[in-house]
Amino acid sequence: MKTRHNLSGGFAAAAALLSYWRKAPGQLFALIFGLALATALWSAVQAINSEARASYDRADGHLSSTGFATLTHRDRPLALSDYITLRRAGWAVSPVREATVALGAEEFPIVLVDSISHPLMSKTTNLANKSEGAEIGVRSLRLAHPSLKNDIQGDVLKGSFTYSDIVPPGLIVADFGHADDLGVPSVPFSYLILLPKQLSDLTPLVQLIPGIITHSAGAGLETGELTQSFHLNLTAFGLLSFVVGLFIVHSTINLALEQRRGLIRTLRCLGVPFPKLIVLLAAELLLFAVCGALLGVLIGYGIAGLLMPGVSATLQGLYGADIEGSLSLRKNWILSGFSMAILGSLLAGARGLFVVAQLPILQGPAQRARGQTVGRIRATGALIGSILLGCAAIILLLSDSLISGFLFLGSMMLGAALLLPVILSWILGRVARRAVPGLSQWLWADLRSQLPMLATPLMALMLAISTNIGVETMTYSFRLTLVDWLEHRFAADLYLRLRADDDPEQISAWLHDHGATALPLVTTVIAHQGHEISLYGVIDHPHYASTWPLRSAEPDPWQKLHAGSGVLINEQMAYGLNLWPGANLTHAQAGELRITGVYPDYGNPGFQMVTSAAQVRKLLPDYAVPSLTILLGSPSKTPILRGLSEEFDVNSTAILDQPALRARSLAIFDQTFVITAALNVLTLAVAGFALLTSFLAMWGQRLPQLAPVWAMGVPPRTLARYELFRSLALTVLTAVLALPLGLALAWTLLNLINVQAFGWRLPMYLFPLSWLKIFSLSLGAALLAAAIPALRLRRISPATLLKVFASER
Amino acid sequence: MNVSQLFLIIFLVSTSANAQGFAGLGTTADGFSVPDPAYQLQFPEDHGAHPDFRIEWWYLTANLQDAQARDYGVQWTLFRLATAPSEEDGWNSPQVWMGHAAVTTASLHRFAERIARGGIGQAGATAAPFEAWIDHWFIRNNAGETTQEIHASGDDFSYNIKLIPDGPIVAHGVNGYSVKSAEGQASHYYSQPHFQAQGTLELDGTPVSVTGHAWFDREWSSQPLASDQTGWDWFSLRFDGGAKLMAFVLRGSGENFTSGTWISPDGTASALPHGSVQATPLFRYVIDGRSIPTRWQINVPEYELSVEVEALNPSSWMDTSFSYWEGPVHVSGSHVGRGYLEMTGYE
Repeated sequence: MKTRHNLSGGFAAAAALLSYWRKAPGQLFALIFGLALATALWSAVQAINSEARASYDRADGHLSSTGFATLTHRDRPLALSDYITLRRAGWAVSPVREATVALGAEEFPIVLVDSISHPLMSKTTNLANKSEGAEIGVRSLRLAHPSLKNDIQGDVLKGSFTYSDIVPPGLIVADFGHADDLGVPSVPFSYLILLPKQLSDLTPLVQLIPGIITHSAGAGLETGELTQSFHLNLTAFGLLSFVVGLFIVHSTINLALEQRRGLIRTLRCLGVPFPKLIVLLAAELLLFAVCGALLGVLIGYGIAGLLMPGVSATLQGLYGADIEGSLSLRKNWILSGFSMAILGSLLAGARGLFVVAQLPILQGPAQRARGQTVGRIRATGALIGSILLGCAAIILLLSDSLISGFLFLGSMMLGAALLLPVILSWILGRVARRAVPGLSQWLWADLRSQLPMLATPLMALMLAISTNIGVETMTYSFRLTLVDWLEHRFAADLYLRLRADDDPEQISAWLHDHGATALPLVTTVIAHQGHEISLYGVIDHPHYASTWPLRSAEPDPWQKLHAGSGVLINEQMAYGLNLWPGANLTHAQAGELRITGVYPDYGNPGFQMVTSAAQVRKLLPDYAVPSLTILLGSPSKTPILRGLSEEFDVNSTAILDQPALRARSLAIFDQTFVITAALNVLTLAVAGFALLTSFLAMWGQRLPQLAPVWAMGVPPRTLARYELFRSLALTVLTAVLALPLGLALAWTLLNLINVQAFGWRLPMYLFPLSWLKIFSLSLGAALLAAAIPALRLRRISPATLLKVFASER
Repeated sequence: MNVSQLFLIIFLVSTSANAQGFAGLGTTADGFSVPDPAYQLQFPEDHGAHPDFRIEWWYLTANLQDAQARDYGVQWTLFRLATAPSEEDGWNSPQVWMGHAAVTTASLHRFAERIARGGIGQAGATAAPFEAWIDHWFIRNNAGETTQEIHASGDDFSYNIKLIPDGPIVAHGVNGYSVKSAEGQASHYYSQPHFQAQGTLELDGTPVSVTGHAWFDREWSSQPLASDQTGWDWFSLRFDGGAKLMAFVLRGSGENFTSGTWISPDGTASALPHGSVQATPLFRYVIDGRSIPTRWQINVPEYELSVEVEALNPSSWMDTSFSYWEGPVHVSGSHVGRGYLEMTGYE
């Protein structure tokens, strides 16, 4: 019986607590929607990240040669004897033949591999468990991508393959032992995979097979590391949005508790035990958290779906990492959204619950009396803020890693945000003291007295504004630098990509005969201190000295380069190996190289070095000539293009002209920052919403403060205008304070994060127009947020205001 | 250890679903040739490969010393494993080759493994001129000489050793027909235990000149183990007086099967039938949870031999696709000397 009584008492108390929300649907909406917004942005970023990660994993899981250096021959295809020569000299290489196989009426692309030496064969180990089909043995390796199951005709043929998604889409992968029965010749090899781990002191490849060419692994190997910094950026953004969203939740929960103080007092007087009340309030919070999380994950899925194509384009453009533009629901980001929402709302509500738990049983609503508490809290916040700023300074001085860059950012932003209420209070206090006594002084003093309630949304607003300024400054600086760099670096008229069987000398001669100049680019790959360096050789021509932008250089770097006494390196390599003009680099084959200059090389993840073509040809015979730079001079473009096509069968895709190249690079760049811009606007919107909910939440408390002023003769219309003024004044103050923070953020992004993440430093340009745009947006948001309470005030009936005096508790 | 390669080899060796005994050596010899007691060893032909048998090895171990009389052990091994009893040129060859090389001192044990497919020239064995190789590792006759040369290298070691024969080839069992179990499992097995060795080995880039003796084993079969036999302990010991002993214990669920060969200083070989060699573990050393007997008491009453055999380095575990223990040993007691010990089936 007692249990039942308790149960029904519990229900009654819960019903009484929940009934509040029926009276305050706006607050309920603010709470759940605020939570949903916070969760949404976080989930969106997590969804994008996990989709991208799944995409990398899929690509990693494929039996492909991506990510490995490869070997081909300059003049002829590689034969079995070449493979055996290299193996018998101790080189860890593995042959690959890419061909087509006719299965029934259709032809399919096939990759023949040696099951024993192929570096990725470990992926077939669990194949028997992963897919239908037999065990894998040396000759039984005969795999097809599951998508081909319907395309391969004939039951026997169909049954002779194991279908697995470790094979790249649309492909068949088989051991060389199946070449005969599939009717595919096993030679010549398309290339040999050069495994990353090799014994030391082996005879150089070119000595074993003159004419052999090493092709670097390309971006594949480094994709993981580089994209990681991109995803870290996104996560930081998601977390920021989440924190901003939590400010909304925090102020709403506290307001609801504040306003139910009377109800809580009554319930306690009726004998509801205190722990039960706390449990009920916590359970209520949990219920809202779950609702908010559910809604948030759904919205997040929508946002991620909208942003995903941009992200995949970004990753493709920046790092060459292929991710599919589609999105799927994945357990990990849904769970992460839910747990963030629940933990976050408990965190946001913890202080309120704690305050309630500490209150004497009969304590009424005494906001003013808690002024000292508020003061104490603000002082604590300021102290923590100062400590965080101190930490930021120490991090800046002592460490220079990517993580420390982000730590610096985090401490600086949070520290500055925590200091905001103190600074605002100080400014408003000074202004109030100088204001004309009377209405004006009341206005400023009133503004100051509301700071405790508005502190959190204002902090959120400051974070949002400074992030916007910081990220926009970075993006604009980056774009300006890039445009300038593209103009100089790709100053030639045409770039011709050569095929393996093109003869660069023949094409150069033909171009020369037709009045154009061809500058062949000679390239090879060398290894230095465990890094793969792409080495380019350029011929002696004034084009390079007059156009190639250099970041820093010794005098006459190009003369030294063409004389064979100096090399130029890209900025990534300069930062990565700490090599700057004047330094020397010793390489077993290339000899002693003096660094005479460092050049910017945006968008390239790898290390690069430029020397004279003659040096490359002399010291590193395994070079290739992948492209020709063409200076047209007097002839026009069209006859040259037609001639190249007619004489050498060069198709249009092999030719890049300068405007096209620039346009493409800028398009990639702009696409890269589409997601950043979208997240920027969303964060600002969340901050605006935080402000709105706070204003709405303060509505009930504003009336007792406004009623006396009204009673003294100030009409509601003027009071409404003051409300708008209040909102604007606080926003302007916050925005002005956010500006230096935003610029500090931009500086950090350009000078710390970029250098660590991408290996290049960018000059910082200031764009006051963009600040103005962000300020206007913020003011707009603030005005919108204040408009609803102001309108209400404008239309308020004298009876409501009079009631304030009647029902003063 | 490369799991994929282990997987491949297990698949290759065990054409039936269940591999039996160590490395599947107890699997039945379906379709493959079986050792014939009437077979007479033929040289140089038998130095080369016997692709109609399922398994075969070329196995060289050497006990060496540097100028400061510090002990070194060197192992060079090439295994041939067949999935079908035939040989075909090119990618369709059913042969897979596996090489193991190691250098052991009292304090370190370095090893490497190479795996290659047959038929394409990456690995193989020819009788005349004799050469067995896998990638850049080889053992081969020096042209125009009776001497041989071995080479192997891994990430952190390499060696080049010249081998000078100073005694005859020895056939084990009866004319090289070596019985391995009471049920009659057997292999063809001969050795060249009389090699002087000299050369250079390199550990972490530091070259060391060494001299000593080497022992070369050749063995091929299709089902060398009985189905219940799980592994073996194999000894090759060289005593200071010039005599040598090859002895092995095949461990099974029933009675262990022992056998061996006593080689007198002049190279005359006498087979030691089952039961004439007594091998008792004296001390077990634990490596990664495996308890390995690294000190043994060996008695051969017929030759008044009672010796203790102790590993130079108890950590000589070969963590290769098929893992086992292999390392140099010291001999003390009625006879004094050096040798090599191999122990399999202690997984």
